[in-house]
Amino acid sequence: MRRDRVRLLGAAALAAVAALGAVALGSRSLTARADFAFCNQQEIQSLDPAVTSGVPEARILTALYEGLVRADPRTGAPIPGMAESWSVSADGLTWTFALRGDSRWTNGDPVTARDFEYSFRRVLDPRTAAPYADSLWCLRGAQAFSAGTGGAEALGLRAPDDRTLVLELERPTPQLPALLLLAPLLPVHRGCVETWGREWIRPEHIVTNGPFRLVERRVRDRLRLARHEGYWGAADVALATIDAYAADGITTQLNMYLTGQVDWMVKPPTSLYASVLARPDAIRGPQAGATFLRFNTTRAPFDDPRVRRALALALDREALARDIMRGGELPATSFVPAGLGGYVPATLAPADADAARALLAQAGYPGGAGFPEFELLYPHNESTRDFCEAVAAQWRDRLGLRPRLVNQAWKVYLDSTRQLAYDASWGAWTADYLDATSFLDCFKSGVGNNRTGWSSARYDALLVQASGQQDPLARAALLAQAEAVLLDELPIAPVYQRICLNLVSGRVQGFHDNVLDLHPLRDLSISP
Amino acid sequence: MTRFVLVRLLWVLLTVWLVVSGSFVLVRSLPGGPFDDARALDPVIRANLAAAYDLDAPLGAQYLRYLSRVARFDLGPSLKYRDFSVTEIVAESLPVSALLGSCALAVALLVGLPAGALAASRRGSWVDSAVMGAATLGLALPNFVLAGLLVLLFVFHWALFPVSGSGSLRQLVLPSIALGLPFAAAIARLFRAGLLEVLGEDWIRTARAKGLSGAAVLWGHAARPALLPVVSFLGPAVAGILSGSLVVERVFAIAGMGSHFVESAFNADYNLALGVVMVYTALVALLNLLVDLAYGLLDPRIEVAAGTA
Amino acid sequence: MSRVATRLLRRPGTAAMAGLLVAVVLLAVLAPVLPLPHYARLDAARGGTGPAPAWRAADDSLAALRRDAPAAAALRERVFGDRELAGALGTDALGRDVLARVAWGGRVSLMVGLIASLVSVVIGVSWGLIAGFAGGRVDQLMMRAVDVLFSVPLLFVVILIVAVLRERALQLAAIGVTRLVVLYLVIGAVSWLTMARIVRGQVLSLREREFVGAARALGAGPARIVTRHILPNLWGTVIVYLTLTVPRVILLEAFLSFLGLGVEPPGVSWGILAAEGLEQLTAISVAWWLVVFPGAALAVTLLALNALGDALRDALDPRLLA
Repeated sequence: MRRDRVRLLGAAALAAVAALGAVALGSRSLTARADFAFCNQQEIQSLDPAVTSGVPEARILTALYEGLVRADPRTGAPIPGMAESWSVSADGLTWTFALRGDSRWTNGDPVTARDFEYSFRRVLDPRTAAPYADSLWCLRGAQAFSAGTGGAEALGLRAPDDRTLVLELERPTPQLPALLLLAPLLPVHRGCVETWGREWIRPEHIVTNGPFRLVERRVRDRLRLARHEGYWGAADVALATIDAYAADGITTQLNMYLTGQVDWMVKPPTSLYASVLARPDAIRGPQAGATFLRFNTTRAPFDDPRVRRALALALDREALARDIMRGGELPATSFVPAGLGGYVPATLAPADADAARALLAQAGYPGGAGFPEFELLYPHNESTRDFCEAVAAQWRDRLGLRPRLVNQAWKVYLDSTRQLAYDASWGAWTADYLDATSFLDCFKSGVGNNRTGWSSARYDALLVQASGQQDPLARAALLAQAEAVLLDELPIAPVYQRICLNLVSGRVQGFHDNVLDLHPLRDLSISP
Repeated sequence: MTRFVLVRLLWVLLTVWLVVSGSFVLVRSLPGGPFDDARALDPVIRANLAAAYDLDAPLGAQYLRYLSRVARFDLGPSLKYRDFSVTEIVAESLPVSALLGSCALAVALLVGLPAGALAASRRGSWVDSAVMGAATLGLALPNFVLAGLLVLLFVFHWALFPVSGSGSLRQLVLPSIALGLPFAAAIARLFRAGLLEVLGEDWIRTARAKGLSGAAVLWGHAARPALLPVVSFLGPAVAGILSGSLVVERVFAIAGMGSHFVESAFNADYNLALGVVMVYTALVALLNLLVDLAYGLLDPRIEVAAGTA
Repeated sequence: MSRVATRLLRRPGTAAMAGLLVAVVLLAVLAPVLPLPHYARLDAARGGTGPAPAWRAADDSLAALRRDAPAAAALRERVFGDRELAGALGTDALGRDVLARVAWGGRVSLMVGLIASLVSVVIGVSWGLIAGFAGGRVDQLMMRAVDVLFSVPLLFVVILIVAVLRERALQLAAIGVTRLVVLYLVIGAVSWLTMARIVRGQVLSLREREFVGAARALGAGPARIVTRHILPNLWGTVIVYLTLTVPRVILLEAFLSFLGLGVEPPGVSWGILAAEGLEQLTAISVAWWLVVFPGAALAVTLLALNALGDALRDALDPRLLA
């Protein structure tokens, strides 16, 4: 009697669990495949642009929303989006944007300048805690507002009417249009945010103004987008539906691409570069990104510029790019990569092992004798590990040094480098926006992105001078001078310029390679 | 009986509380906060973020606030997936993991029980040695190696199954096998041992003397008491399946709770890590309780209330 | 003891298992002297090839070995000269030799297995001994703690602990505690529960035996009783469960390395090899040798250890109480 009850209980329990699971599965049942599907590398942080800070987020958000400007698919440069045109005053401190009048939010409301006024203020608001708030600190009163010491009334941000937006800056910022391409600066609908609070981003509440609208979202599975007919350029948007998958295993993503489940895969695994690069569907090009080695200039012996220079010159950048990375990366000839809108970079001294050895001897460590054992820190990643092993081997073989490899989880690595708790480390930087300052600003004194403890008054002064320069050529020259200072003192040793590699199915049109690796979904289409 | 259950439930609560408190301190000891990224944050912004997520209060205050939220079944917002609360993420991924786990358990039972019975009924023959050899091998092989071999054979060599995802049952076949096979091996051994012990008893000989066939004797009479060691193994088996799912979910890209846990440990997503640990601990503890109850009910000779160790 | 040994060896499979285990252990122990390419040497040009053994001139594996372990290098040079067996089990995408990595990985995995198991034995035996011998309230409390710990999903806590401790390594390194040592301690600290239970059961029964009673009558203190009478009778049990703990520990290390929390590169362990092998399995390149060989090494070792442990337990059966 009891036994039967137990058996029944057991069977019921198992059945309940299975039913739960079946319900979960059922709710995930696949509908017909979208027009275009791609792997977006990971689940995105949020559909609220203001709180995001990543590239996968930007891909989705620039499809759902559109800002004052949008990216040209061929060059990544800013071209008119919600703003038809803009002008800047003579002193460079006032920018006026003229908005178009024919674009609507997904709930039918027209997109106005006041939406941008609200959105920019929201990004700067300390309560939003936006990671990219400082990209708008060029506005008058913005930094104080974010720090909580100034009021919103003091912001240099005005919408005199529905179709005009005026930005008043602290100091001239010629790269402002490029800055406005950043995803966190995309507009949000005030009514929606204020009505729904934290829930406003749910598919049933969300209101967006971009070429696509949100249809469905399954966390860590995928997002479905559909064309938004109220968008001003809807006639140019070829794709009717898009699926963005959030599978985060890189091999899984590759397999999804190879089996035709998706049409576009970002960043194939580096271990397979050799076989991937030969494929006709691999689209490769230089990226506005640099990989370098960082030295902690607050620790001996890295406080000696001769030591740093020796370490930098000893590296065979060609071999590292060609044999270790093998993706067609270009050995670095400067810190700021070429191709950033007309900027001509300064020149990095070419590799020279003999000069390196001489410098090391000069610094007091002939043949590496007496040079302490030091740690080369890198974040946990397969290709980074291989790269750092090769670098360590070169330092060992050419200079007689004794580097020891240490790896840390990504976040811990960031913390260590921020707190200057390392000897030498791997480093990489990718441009946020299309301008040399996106790179050079990193090494201003005391800035968070510096991570080396290096500071040079001359460098800082040159950057300030450049920002006040209206003439683009003169400005570029000043920036190049600053870069020359950097390449002379070498708190970092640039190694190679990164590449963008995408696997794109042959039936996709409108996919262009550019240094920012921006591929707006709005401009893609599928050939039949 | 009710007193026994209540006491055990109290122990479950105590265990969960211990684990959560320990993990609370552990996750916050991970250097590198949840908001660190390649682009360094200005101190002003860092302060704003800490304030927004309640991470700037002293540790004790944060702990008490967390406990009071948990008491209201609010596990807090995820620090990485800002649009979702931990409860929502758990609610979405738990059924997926549960389904994977039940399928793995089903594989374990459906393969293990007949294998054990076969070995027991042909005791000493080559069949016995072969089955027990396979069982020992199955126990020895780590589930990620098994997963790798399954992928090699059934995804790439003979393209029978998809490589990843959790949308359809077909995608769960390989992960369930990878997860369940080691436990099938253990169940086979236990069932065989249990059967052999029972088959030697007097009342079995009586049944045979009455003219019952071998199969009828085995499944009709011997199986029930022989299942006792299998049942008592179910507790650790489910715990093992839950732990094993950490790796299997990763290999097969299944959006279940296991992969959430590993991710949250690497992302310093405090709330999600704590939430998942709490759910797992509660699950395992409750399952152990259920198993003990079932054990007692299956064999009336055992005094459950006396507190088996 | 000899009775046990004869009983053990009488079983057909056991001798084979013992042989396999010895073979794997030898491969790992002798790794530095074997004529193999260096396990961390990158050779991109020869990357990604399947098993294709070639007896060729040693590139610079000898030089690298001379730097790290000169005695071993000298021995290897005397026996095998300047040549090496390359590509016997294939190479990975970066040109590293699989056989060399399996051998060196074995050193780490086996060492972690052994040391962490010893840690767990020390903790488990002490715990069980104290609980069993003291009896009463102390016993109740200690075993309750074990019960609670049994229901904790230790893998999760281990992951958190390892993630925390390995990052505090910079401070810990100052007192000589490297990440590897942390791994030994943490893995050992979560594997002692079963041992504690078994030992306690043993001690409880041993305590009531005549010779203990006699010793007490003769005025022996508790310490003497424990060391002279109880401990010697525990060795059998301890060895059996040690043999069964080692594979579980090796498995746990492989798990952690697979998740990226165990041994760190350029060090190599079987778990790391399995992870790398799986990473590189795609429809473009089905590099089966990267999965099969490390997997086989793991499987063979674990299989042999489990089988031996089982055989030992059966051989010592009459001494164990059910």
